[in-house]
Amino acid sequence: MRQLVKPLARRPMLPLLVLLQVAVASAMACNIAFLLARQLTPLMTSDGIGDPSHLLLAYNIVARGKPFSYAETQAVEASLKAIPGARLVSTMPMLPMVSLTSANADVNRPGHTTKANAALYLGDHVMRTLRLRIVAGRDFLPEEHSLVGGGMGFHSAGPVIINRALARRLFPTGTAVGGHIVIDSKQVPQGRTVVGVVANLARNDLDQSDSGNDCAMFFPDLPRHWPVTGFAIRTEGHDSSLLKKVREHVEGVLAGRLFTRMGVAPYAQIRAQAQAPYRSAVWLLSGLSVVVLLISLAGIMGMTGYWVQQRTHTIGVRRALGARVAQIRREIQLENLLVVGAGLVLGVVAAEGLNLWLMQHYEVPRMPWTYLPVGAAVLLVLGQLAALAPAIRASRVPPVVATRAM
Amino acid sequence: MLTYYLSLAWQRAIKGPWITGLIVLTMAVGIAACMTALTVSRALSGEPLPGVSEHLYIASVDACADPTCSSSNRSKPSLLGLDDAREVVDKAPVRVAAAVAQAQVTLSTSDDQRGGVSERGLIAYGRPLALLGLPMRLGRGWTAAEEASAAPVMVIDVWLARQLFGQADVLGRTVTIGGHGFRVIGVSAPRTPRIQFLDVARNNDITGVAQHFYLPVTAALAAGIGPTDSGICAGGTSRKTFGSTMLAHCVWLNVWARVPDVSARDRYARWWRAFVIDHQHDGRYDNKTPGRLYRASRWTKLNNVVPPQVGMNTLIAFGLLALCMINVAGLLAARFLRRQGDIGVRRALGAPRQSIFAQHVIESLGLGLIAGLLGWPLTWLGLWIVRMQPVGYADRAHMHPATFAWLLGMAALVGVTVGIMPAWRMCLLSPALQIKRT
Repeated sequence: MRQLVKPLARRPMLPLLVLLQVAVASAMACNIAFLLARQLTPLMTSDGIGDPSHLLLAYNIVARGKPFSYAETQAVEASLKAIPGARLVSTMPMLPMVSLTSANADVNRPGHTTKANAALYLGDHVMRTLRLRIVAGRDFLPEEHSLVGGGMGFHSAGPVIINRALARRLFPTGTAVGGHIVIDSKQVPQGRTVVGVVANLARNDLDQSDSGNDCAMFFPDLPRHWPVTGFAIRTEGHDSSLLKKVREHVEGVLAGRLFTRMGVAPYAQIRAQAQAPYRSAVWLLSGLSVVVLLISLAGIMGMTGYWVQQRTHTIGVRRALGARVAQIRREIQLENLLVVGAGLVLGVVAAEGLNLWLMQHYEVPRMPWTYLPVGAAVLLVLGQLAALAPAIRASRVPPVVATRAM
Repeated sequence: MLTYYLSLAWQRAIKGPWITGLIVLTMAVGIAACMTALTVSRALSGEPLPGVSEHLYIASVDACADPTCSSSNRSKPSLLGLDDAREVVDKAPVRVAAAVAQAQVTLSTSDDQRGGVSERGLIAYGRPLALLGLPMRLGRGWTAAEEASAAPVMVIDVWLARQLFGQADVLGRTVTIGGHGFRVIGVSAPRTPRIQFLDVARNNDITGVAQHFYLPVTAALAAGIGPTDSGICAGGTSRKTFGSTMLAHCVWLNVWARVPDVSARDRYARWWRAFVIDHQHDGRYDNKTPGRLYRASRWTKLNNVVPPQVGMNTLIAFGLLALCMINVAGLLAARFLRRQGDIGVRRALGAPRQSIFAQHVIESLGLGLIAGLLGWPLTWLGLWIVRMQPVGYADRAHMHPATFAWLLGMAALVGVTVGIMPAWRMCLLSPALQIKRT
């Protein structure tokens, strides 16, 4: 150990620069990786929609003036059902992957303190139109569909179907089906009864789900009056004329009632659009991490290379005195390990500091500690790789160098 | 001397082209990343409407005390009901004030074949044109008498005049909105704010939205024209309406005032606080938030009009530059130290430490400037990448002539900074030892 540290300490500038570089690189790499993972969550979370290529969404249907009545939306639904090729139609004020209108609320079990923020969907026969996969319990019964006034039915009793993420959060042990949940801590005696659990159902406010929150639920109810609505249409074929027909039917029934131009698109396209900002952020951040790592690699390589070259004579003497090729190589690698390791100690502190600073200024959550050892391991390997070429060059210094004059 | 040092540097540069390339490229990458981030963040910071918005203040209060008020999570509370807004505009101790709400309407002319154009504009009480410092090209704004009598008059901007009538001289002509005719009494210059600050609750845009028409509120409501949305309404989301005049239970207008100096601002702020406290005592306003005034640029910040991602990207870019600079400092030190024999000879022949220092700093300055030149296309590439992103400010990522000056300045600064430590190290070499070693 002593003969390792001594030459480093005698000419400390280059080792110190390597150390500093490793510290900055690891602090940046950990935080960039953390930001990247957050952007990745909405892309990786399954939306739960079965057979997405046969689903159309009609969205951004905004009432001019008086909100749409239930009768109006039912008329649209009936008209859409009459389109040949449309198999199922659901009126859904909130649609998956459409963030124009979204609703969410804090949910807990009566008498329990564990709360979860869940996105809410409303609509009739949502399960069949979206083809959600049920993993426990049952779908809503036809007689369970009802109308709610003056809100979204947060505070009325009735059934609810929740996704597995919410079930795990609120019912960590035991089964969720048959349990009760209370929304917004309002005093409805038993709250809503969970009748079913679906495997997946994505939130429609994707910016919430990037913090790892993927809880969602849906009610069988529809509001009496609602200013913005949408329709999910399960289709038979891929006929592109369906899009035009859907628009004609909605605009026909709601003639003079629409405030802005409505949107109609295949679900897959809407999903791609909603995910596009996340996808591009992932590319950008991945590119940045690669640049950070490449720069560190080149820097460590260049500096170690010089460091070795500077000591060619010493190495020659040591070879002449009997040090083996492998020994010299191992020494250079070990030296690198020492310097990079010291840099990483500083880097861990810097990474935490940077995370704290980001938390204060940019609403970034706390970075899980697991990022630190993983980041450190990556940089240790990187350092060893960078030292490989100089180490091999050092080990090839012939002992005859020692005999050359100083 | 300078040319001599530069020629020495050049000789060294071409002798080790790989390491020279690595040094220059690393610096260029760091500089380009920073320039890209700075170009974007400069385009999105500063005054929303230079020359005007410095003096504009919005009155902020939570004017809906009812527990059933629908919440709006994007913006800070600032909306008022019509009667309160009128009172503030009329009685506040400021010269120019207006209550405004954005509307989206379809406008047409009598001989329009296309079915009209759908555009955004403002429904206003008070003097919106004077407030926004909009020069009138033709005609005038509406008078208090016209407003009180709900006279169907409006002001449009030149752009909309050309859209509707094909020309700018449209005084006295009639524009139809929702079946009601409005007489054009003024044509204003078109203006788009750099950053959105008017009605941030009804706009998700980051860069400013042009308001193409101005309607007096009484006439607008009489003709059934309401704001884009009804703002925050008692009775929950189900009371929310779009483009309607059912606004009795809603707060939906922002009051902006033009305040020329600090003392006028303080007077207005005191008056506004007192006004809010009065209404809190009545139980009409929420008790928790005091009445405050916010300057336009502060208001855009508070409402996160520019996404925090922009600031974070700048931070990451500066981190990358720091990394590149440490890296280059090391590479330069290694490069300089390889020639310590030459320096020893020069020192022994009488060269003072200063000139050794100067030589090396000049070399690294030269490398920095080359990196700046290389950083030019890289910055262009970086801005192109930003333009490809699906973000609301993508169209602002453009290079300006000033960017180039900034780039070169930054390159020179980076070049000198990274050179200081290695150059200092070279000064410390003692002449005799170096000669012996060679």
